[in-house]
Amino acid sequence: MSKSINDIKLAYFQKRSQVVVFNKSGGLVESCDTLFNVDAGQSVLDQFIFLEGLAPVLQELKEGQTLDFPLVEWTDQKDLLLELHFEAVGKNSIQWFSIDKTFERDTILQVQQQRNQSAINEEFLTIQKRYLEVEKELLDFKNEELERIQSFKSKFFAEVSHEMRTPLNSMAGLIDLLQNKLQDASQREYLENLKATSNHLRSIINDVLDLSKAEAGKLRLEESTFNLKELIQTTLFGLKLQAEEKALQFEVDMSQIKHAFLIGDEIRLAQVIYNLVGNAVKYTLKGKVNITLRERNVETDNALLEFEIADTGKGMSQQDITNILEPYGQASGQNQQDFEGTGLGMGIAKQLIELMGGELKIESEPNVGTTISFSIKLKPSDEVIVEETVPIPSLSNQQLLLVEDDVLSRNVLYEYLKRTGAQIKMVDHIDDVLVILSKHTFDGVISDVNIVGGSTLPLFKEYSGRLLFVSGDVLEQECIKVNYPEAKFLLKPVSKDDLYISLSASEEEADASTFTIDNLRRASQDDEVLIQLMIDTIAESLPKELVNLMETAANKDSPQCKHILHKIKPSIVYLGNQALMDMRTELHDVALKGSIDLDQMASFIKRVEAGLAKFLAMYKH
Amino acid sequence: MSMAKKVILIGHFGVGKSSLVRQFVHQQLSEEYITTIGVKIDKKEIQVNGSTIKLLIWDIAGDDSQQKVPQSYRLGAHGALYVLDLSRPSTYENLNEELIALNELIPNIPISVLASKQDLVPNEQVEKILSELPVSAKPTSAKSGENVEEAFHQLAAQML
Repeated sequence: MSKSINDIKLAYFQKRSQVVVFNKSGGLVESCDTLFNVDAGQSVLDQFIFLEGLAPVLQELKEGQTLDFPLVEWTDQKDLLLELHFEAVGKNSIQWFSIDKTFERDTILQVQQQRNQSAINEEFLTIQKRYLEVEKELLDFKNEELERIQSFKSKFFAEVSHEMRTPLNSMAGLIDLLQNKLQDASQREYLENLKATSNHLRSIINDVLDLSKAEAGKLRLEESTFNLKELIQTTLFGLKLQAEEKALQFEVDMSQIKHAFLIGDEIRLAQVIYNLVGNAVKYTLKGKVNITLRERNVETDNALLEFEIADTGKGMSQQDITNILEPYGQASGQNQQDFEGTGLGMGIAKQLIELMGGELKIESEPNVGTTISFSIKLKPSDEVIVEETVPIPSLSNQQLLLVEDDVLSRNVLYEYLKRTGAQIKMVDHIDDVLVILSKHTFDGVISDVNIVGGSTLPLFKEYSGRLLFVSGDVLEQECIKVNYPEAKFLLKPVSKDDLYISLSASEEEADASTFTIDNLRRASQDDEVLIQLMIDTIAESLPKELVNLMETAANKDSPQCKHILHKIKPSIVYLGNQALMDMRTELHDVALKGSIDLDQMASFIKRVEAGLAKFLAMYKH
Repeated sequence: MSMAKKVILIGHFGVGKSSLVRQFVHQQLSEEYITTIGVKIDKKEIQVNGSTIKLLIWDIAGDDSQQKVPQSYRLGAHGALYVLDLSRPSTYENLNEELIALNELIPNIPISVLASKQDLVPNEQVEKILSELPVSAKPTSAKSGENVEEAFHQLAAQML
């Protein structure tokens, strides 16, 4: 016979529940002892620690009042997890109903544990996130602070450097003045050392100023169209001489450069190349320094220029490379005793390359050599640039004096002057200047303002020829203007073009004084009557031919131009002015090729007219 | 003759209430976190001022709000230990509000605040946290046993 539903339910709960009835003073009334035993000989309230703490509460329960404890476990009932229910029955009895929940323990534990653990994990993640945020804020703050310090430092250095330059220039001037006053050789030597030191300090300040500007982001690149190959050659000219003095092999390969003209900051690019190649020459004692330029077409608008400077110098370790890229850094073993240098050159080059969008790379091996490379993108120039080549003035038959004590500058200037065809004499000490001036007559003097022994400024008061002063200090210019209003001034390092322009201008200014009747005398074999006849003929015919020439040139009739230029050749030669002779030859050659330079032609005609007037005033009786 | 005193341990889950009880009663430590289900009752007799006190320790499962804990668990308590976790700011960020609410739920009994897991937090930070709490709290460590015994003894003395 099957059990009733109630029987089944009863059987199920019977095994999992217990009922204990006790009076409020703890005396046991009844217990089924299904789950735990209750000792009738002892107060129920004292048998279970759970009840011990509850005794006063239970005693206060009024009839019908209940108390529920959803989940309870205690040490005396280690394996049981119970749900407890208390109810006051009658005035003095408590009915205690316990349900065994032990079988649910694992499930409850799992759910609760998961809930708590995930909440704790979430909290830790929040804390971790917050910590990272705080760390980032701190890092940002530190970076801002570093940037602020860096900016302050750069600004400070820039301002201080700028302020220092003025008094330093004054000091250099005072040293020059003092040098001229001192007679004692040892004192002059001390002063010379002082001057060298102040010059060195000035170059350091200029470097610091550049680096500070770069670090402060105040260095701006200028854009202009320039001839890359010419820029490289000009920049490396002096360094090549230095390399040759050290018997180093010095090679420049620009065969892979495709564009003649590019747009960029030629001055800063020259500074980078000068610094990097300068270092290579400085730290290479034997072997070679090779400079290679390559151009790659990576984009339609830009040309990628790759520069590589390879030397067989002392090389560097990885730590040295890191060091030299730091401002003021030098590789180990490189010190002022070995090599002069502030350590700023490499830093400036790095900053400038980065400003140009490139990256400086250094590969080096101690005692083997170093290869420095960088790539920058430059726009090829779209416009057809007419090279403003300054013609080399023809100074043949002229005597020039070059006064310069700096070997490098002297060699450079000598090379440039040599190309003019002039005869050049050189002195490098102040004591020799007056001696050579007293023995020789010079058509022109090119002199550094400060050389060994003092300033050259007081030395040319009696000299009446052309004067060109050169100096590394722009402030000297004012001083020269006061003392020699007619003299010219060039800032060192002197460029080839500037020198030639200065010398050409001098030549033009000297036109009036360089007209000579010598050619006419030779042609007439000193026959005075014939000379005057020839002068009259020139005076009459040449102006007419010049008018014809101008009209013909305006009509772009180059064969006729060539014809007239050929026709007037004797007249021009008889005027005895080399510049006009050269100009005529040049114009004739141009016309021979079917071209006419109208501007040059106009200039030529104007100068011939002026020259003829002066010639006639001098020689026509 | 000993007197029985019911002490309840309350606070957020995972703050280390059970570990403090285990350390105090059994001088044991479990690194494993096992959550308490409902309430777990333990006992320990201690001597306070010459009297023997049987502490009936009700370790109540933690919750972020005491309102969610059945009131029956707290009935008849003579004292309470409110435990916060020094390594988890959320367990003490609203301490003042929680203590006010607790005072309403269990009025007129001493409540001590214990700052647990002292060993997990640098000393300077412990001092900083404690100084910023609205009430004084005793730093404790179930791991090292630091201040655990003292905390129960001090509460017991207050309950006398």
